[in-house]
Amino acid sequence: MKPKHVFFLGLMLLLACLSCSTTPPIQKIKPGETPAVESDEAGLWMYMDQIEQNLKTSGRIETDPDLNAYVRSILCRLTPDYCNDIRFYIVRTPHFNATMAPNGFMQIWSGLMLRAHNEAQLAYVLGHELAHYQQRHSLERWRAVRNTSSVLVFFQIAAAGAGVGYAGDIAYLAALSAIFAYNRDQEREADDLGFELMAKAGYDVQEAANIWEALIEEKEAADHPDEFIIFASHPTTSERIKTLRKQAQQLASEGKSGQKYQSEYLSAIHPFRPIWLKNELRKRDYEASQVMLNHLFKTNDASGELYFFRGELHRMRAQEGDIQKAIVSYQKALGFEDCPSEAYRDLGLMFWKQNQIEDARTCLETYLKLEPDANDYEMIKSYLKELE
Amino acid sequence: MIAYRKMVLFALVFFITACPHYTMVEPGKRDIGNSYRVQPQTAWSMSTLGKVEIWTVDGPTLEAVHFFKGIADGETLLPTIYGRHQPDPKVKLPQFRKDMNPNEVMEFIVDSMTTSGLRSPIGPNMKGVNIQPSYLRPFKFGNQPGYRFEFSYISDQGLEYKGLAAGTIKDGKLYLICYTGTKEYYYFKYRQQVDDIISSIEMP
Repeated sequence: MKPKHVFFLGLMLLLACLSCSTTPPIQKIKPGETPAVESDEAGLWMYMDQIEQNLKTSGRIETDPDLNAYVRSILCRLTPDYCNDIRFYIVRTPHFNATMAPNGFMQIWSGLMLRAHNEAQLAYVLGHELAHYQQRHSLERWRAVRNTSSVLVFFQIAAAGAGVGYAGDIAYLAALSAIFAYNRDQEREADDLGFELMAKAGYDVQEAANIWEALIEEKEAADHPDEFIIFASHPTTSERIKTLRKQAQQLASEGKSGQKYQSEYLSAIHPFRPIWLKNELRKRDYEASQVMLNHLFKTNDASGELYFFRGELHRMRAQEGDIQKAIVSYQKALGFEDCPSEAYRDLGLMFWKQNQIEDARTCLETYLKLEPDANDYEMIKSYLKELE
Repeated sequence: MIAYRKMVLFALVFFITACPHYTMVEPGKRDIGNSYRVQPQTAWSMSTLGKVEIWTVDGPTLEAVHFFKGIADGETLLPTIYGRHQPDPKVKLPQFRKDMNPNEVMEFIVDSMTTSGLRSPIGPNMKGVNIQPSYLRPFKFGNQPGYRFEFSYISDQGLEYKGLAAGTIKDGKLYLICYTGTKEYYYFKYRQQVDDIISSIEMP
């Protein structure tokens, strides 16, 4: 059967279920469980299967086997019993979000992975999403909206997802998130269960509140706070953060502690961080990105790379005083072993804009020595001729 | 009945204006606005999108040449609104600055394709994912000093593309020709014709 037919069969089944199905009380899903074919849940799963199929072929998926194996290990550590039921996709989108579909597919956006400082922080968010799955919150939500006008929005969004490969499109994903926006009780339950999963797996539970706090600070600096679509489906309040802190203190007072697994985490994401940072800057929400970079500096990791990207932020913003700020950042970056060689090139080009010809020449020559196969080698050589 | 006729007329006008309008570009010299002149060796179909001319043979999602007629300081690569495929107004598109060096122009193009895509006149944006530019080098755009580079990318839908761009800044405006095509077959099918077009640029 063609995917299109599967999709419309799902639609028919769902429509039929609107009028005639019995709706048994919602219980926690068991490991390996699939819904009965005559149930409304089966129709919902078919929809989600089609959306998942589209996502699989999107060019935005990070397919690196090592990175995927690492994230799989976190999921399995959190929920060994459900490990085989969950399929996840790391989507290259520079926003902070993770979503869990009722049929067991999870999206983890690269913006979340960029912002997490350690494995414990990522584990908290994943645990929270897994809790939504285990408690069948999406089904509960679906049953709540299906007899309201919101059901039309659901069909429109689902049809867009099934018909066109919009995976990764912020507007589409935001709308999808909003449909599955959970109510306060569901969020509270997912918080509690996610926290429990995290603690049971041996993670440092203090990190649960830390990641929310950093994100709220970033949101407050953003030009478009509503782009933080995680808050559309996960309304974070100071009350929730207080609760998480209180729960963490409680465990600490009982002598229970956990691990952050920071070095493991940073090492796993290391090869992907430059492109994720580049995509972050492409959002051109420079104030929010500045806050995010400041937070990343706290990990004391890859400082050369971070100073380089701080320089890039100023170079790209190009407002008054940014050239000088970019120069300072690039110069700081050069003091670290992990500084990308592009820092020499961009520092040289900034010096040129400042008419510091000798400094520009020195930097550009160093760049060419370090990168004899650079994709802009011929261009840089022509700059050097101009600077003679 | 009159109301019905008006509705039919409105619908016809809507559909006619909503469809991309193509005209034939015959081989021979052709002005790209008042900006520059090229001389295609073969026939192409042409449509416009704001200040951009788009030429294609087999369809713009398979291969297309975008001719940019002068992007001024502060302008974006493509119009920010097109038909019903409106981009998210919250998305900040890269803006051209007249003091950009060739590396920054390349970044402007790559970032624009990542953020909004090189829009097709017949469908949704085709955003590029993981755009890999290569071989940025000096290049004569007509008689003007300019630059050229190649690139490859994957579309949002997972299709692999290749492309090339050649441009120059004159009197503070960016003039640019950008060619994209599917990595399988179409890019290479018209690559020589596009090279011939680029070699034929005359700029007053």
